[in-house]
Amino acid sequence: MALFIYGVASNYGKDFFTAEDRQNFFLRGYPGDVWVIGATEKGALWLAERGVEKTKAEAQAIVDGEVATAQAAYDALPEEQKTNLNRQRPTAINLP
Amino acid sequence: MTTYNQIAGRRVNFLSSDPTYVDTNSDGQVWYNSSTATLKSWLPTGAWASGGNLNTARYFNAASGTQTAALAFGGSPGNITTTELYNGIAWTSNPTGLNTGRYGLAAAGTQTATVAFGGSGPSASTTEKWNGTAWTSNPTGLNTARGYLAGAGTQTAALAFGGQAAPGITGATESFNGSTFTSLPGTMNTARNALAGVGTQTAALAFGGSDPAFTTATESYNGTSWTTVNSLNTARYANSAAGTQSLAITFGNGDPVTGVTELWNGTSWTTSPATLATARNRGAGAGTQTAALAVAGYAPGASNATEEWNFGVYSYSAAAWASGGNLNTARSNLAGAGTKTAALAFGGYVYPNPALTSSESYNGSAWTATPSINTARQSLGGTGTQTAALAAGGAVSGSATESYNGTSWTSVNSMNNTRVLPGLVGTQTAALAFGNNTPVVTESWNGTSWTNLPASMNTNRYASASAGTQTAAIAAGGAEPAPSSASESWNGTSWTSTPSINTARTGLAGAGTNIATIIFGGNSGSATGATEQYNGTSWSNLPSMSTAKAALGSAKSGTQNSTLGFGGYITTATAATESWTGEVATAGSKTLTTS
Repeated sequence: MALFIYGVASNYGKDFFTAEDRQNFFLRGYPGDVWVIGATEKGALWLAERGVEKTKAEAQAIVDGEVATAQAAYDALPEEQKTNLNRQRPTAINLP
Repeated sequence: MTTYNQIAGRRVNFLSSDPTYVDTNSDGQVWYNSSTATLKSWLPTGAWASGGNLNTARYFNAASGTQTAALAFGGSPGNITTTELYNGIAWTSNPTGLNTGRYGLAAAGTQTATVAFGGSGPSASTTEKWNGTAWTSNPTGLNTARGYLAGAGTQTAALAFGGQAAPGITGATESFNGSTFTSLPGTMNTARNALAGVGTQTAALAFGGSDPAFTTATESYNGTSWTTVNSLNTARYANSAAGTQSLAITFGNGDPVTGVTELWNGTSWTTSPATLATARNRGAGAGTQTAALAVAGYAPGASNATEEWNFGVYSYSAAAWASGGNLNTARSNLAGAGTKTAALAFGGYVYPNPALTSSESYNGSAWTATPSINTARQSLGGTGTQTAALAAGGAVSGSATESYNGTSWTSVNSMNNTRVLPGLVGTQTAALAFGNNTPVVTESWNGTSWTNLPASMNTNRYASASAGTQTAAIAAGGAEPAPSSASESWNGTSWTSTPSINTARTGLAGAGTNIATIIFGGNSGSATGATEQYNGTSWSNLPSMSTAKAALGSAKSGTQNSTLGFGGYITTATAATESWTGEVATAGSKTLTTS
């Protein structure tokens, strides 16, 4: 059985997820409003109420697109900002 | 084997039910619950929950204040000036921002008195002071111009340390007395930038950052010198923090970004099993170790996400609307009285049919027909309780008033003025009526007769939400006749304009008091389920009703955290009831097991 379900849900702010949610099931946000949720009844209900379920491949593609955008923004930074601040080029994110 | 008695100096309490959680002094208390045959304890835990999103996404920003009264300002991309205020629910953009937009700045202070200093590039020494409404540029700035530094203390007793100066990474420390910065001899042992700091001018803590490698180094400041103390478990760069020198929390890291959270107990750091839901770095923190706020950051890309950290035995149930029992007669433009579990609905109509006389009572789950009002009407006002209610005005009755004693409705003295869709608040024997589709004075009811008062609302309107008492009321929204965002408060003598509601609308309902109000539903061009609350200072959004509806009734004597919305129209009249429960904090004990 899969450990996670994947979805897209726009964080509308207060009570989008609660402390109780965080204690009840795995929940982690990624770029592009992608969320990885523990594959439990409560986790599935949380996503059903707030967003749209995606396959892992669909979710990964959204994250990849966001990382590519962030990398392009980094590449456009002045060299001084890249070196002085130890800022690294955004790296690929692999969903669990 | 060592016993609990030997460790704690007392035996485990043998109780038939869980004891009351009083405060943090109860933490760690152990007892045996004989009813459930379990060994239990109050064990505090921490978790991050979503807060209101910032209006402007940003990173390398600064923040100050507490979890429920915070300030966020500056940041990147670009040089952001925008300043936002948080009330524990939502961020509001201030009309004016920093005089000098910048990022990589630091701050010290509260939501009403903060000093911001340093920042990127040419703004590296800039200092500004916030007075609760606006920033003022300070004539003098940091002696060591720098960005990506940390700050601690208050607006009049602040500390600046670390950062990126023109020659490179610095450990320079400066104190601020409310007017000028003074360079201090005590420099940090590990010079670094993009670090985090907490505490006061004479008792600060610095941790993480880049030296230029990501560092775990933690240093403690005693007002004279920095001392290296136990390190972070995870090397961090561009981390955020909250708390004091003896009780701190840090969160976020990069690159790549993480949500790892650590807690400082005055001696050492412990990694929390709870992490930020949205991993990030370059954000800001505010609050305390037990009630912190993570504000914006880079995730990657500018984020507007806010997360709230709470550490304790309490768990919080989110505020929400739930479905209740349906009215027996669908209707709109009705009135309501009572509470969430003991409500009364009366009058109304199903357009274009004639007005109704029927009345129904609610017991928390189902509506039952009760004696009818004497005069059929819709768009009337209602107030009071399930067994002591008042009905006034409406169409076609105009000024007719009726009183309900739990058994029957009695026609009593009419209002002095004709009112349709009026505001009506208070009790059966001490009420206040206001508003109409033509300008009209406010009048008060003493249980026998109505008296005109020499006061009118500043913005005449009707179909407002009304709540409160005869001497402390509020009118929110309404029809001017266009949907209104006006809000006014009544002090027993006059009306004063208060901050506008967020969604202009007419035909909304309300409950609570004039400083703890909830409003919901209405028509803002089309039916809406928008729900807002007022805390005496500002309106903030709450979760919406499940179904948008206008011209609905409310359990008028309900509270901001407990009321009903019933009837109204969506495209046609509805019988649906929705029940509101505000955020609930519950102390949760943990069962101790041997595993």
